[in-house]
Amino acid sequence: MQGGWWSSYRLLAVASLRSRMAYRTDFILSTGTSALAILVDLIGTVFVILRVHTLNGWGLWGVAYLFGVTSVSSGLFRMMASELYDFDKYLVQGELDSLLIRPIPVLTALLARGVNFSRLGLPLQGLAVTALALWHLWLPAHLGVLSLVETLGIFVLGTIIWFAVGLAVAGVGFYTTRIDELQVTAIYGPTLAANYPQTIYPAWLRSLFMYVIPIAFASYFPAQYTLHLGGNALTFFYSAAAACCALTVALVIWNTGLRHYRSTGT
Amino acid sequence: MPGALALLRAGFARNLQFRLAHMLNNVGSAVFGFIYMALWQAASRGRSLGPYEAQALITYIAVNQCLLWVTTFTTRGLGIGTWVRTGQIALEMHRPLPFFLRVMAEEAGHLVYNFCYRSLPLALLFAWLGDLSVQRLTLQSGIEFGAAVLIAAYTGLCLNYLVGLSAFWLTEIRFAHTLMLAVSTVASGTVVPLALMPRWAARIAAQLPFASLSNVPDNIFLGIATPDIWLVPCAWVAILTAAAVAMTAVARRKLEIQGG
Repeated sequence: MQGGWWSSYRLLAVASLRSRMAYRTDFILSTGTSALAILVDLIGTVFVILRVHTLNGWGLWGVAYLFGVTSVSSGLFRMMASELYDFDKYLVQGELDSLLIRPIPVLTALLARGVNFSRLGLPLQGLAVTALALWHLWLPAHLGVLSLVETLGIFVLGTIIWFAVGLAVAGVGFYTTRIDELQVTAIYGPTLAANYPQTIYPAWLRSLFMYVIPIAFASYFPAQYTLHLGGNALTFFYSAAAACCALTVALVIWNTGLRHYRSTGT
Repeated sequence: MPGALALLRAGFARNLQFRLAHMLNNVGSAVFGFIYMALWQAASRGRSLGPYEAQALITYIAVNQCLLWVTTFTTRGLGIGTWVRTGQIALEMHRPLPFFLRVMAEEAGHLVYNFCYRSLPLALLFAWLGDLSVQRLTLQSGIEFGAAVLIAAYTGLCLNYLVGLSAFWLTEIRFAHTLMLAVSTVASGTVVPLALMPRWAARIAAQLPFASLSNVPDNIFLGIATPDIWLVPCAWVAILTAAAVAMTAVARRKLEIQGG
């Protein structure tokens, strides 16, 4: 069964990519525009950093590192689980029903719609910013090869956590029908919040970003440890645990919502 | 004109059914404000930054968050993109009311709704939490603020209208809209007030129409605006209106040539 799942995913994903490349101009245009849009977003953050110089002990390149890893993680989620990120249109336009009658799980079918390479801009930009930050902090923060490995670990764990958040939001959509506004609150908001050190937020926000939408474990805590700004050796363990918990809870929400949706006779 | 007013009322009424959901979602919008406030609070550390005292900066963000609902969070392309894609545009352009007036009026109704059910509740929430201070507001600056908000809303409408019209030439306006949103977020002073940007960036941004959306009304509210702040917004109102009318005519001709 495991092998069957993977091979059907691969088959559908390749077919999806091929169909997208058929509209080449559209593909190039959308990639280019989203890259420009992300660049402007980065400029805004740079302006903030230029002005503040230090945020609770985090300097320019520390904040840049946070921004970079958040962009990579959330960007990879949006790219690889693209249809999940756009789940709102399935709910509103009734396309969900065509997925429900398939022999594979709905989530698999959704994910197999493919990797949306026009969203490659965000993770690429994040990678560039992260690399720049690491380069600037290499000597001052006494970084080493281990830091590179840790950064890769942050990418992986971060992507899982963002995926879990996106999955949970989509699962809620089975009850609320529209999730576009919920996505702004639950995904865009935390993405913005993850760009900066968590210590600047009031206690209630910090708790929110640790226990409800655990993005603090996706960026701040592991980044803090990697850049030798605090934390201890268990930090990555905590982040991995948070990722597992988040994924489990998200799957429960998704499956409960799906069952509810099915049982209403649609 | 009475047709336009009727459309405005319709645009308002259409959103009324969602008001409970919208009020609940206002919490999410408030959280954005709290994030920016925390950011600038940590940045200023209680001292003033540029022309803004610490509390003034918090108020700037609070007012801005409320204003976004009448300047930026409007229907993408004012719905024109969807009409072009489905072909309904042919019908819509042949209605008795001038296209530009009609689309703007309908969306204006949406904006009035947003003001009542989004901006005002948010403002009350922020004021109650002490984030929105009206200390520096006088009667004169209050009236000026009202005028600035009207200009901001109109400018935002025109920009979105032009993005919507681009559907006549592009297959998807989603990219143009995303790009405009991104530029607007930075250039309007939402993320960083213009006065706190690097000088070269602030100089460019001050000349763009986006500054009218956030920076101008916010500064007027805080009482730190100089009289010449009106020049650029008013100029852009004229330019954008002229551009919208001209582009509509071009689009209409394109439609008629293609047999619409």
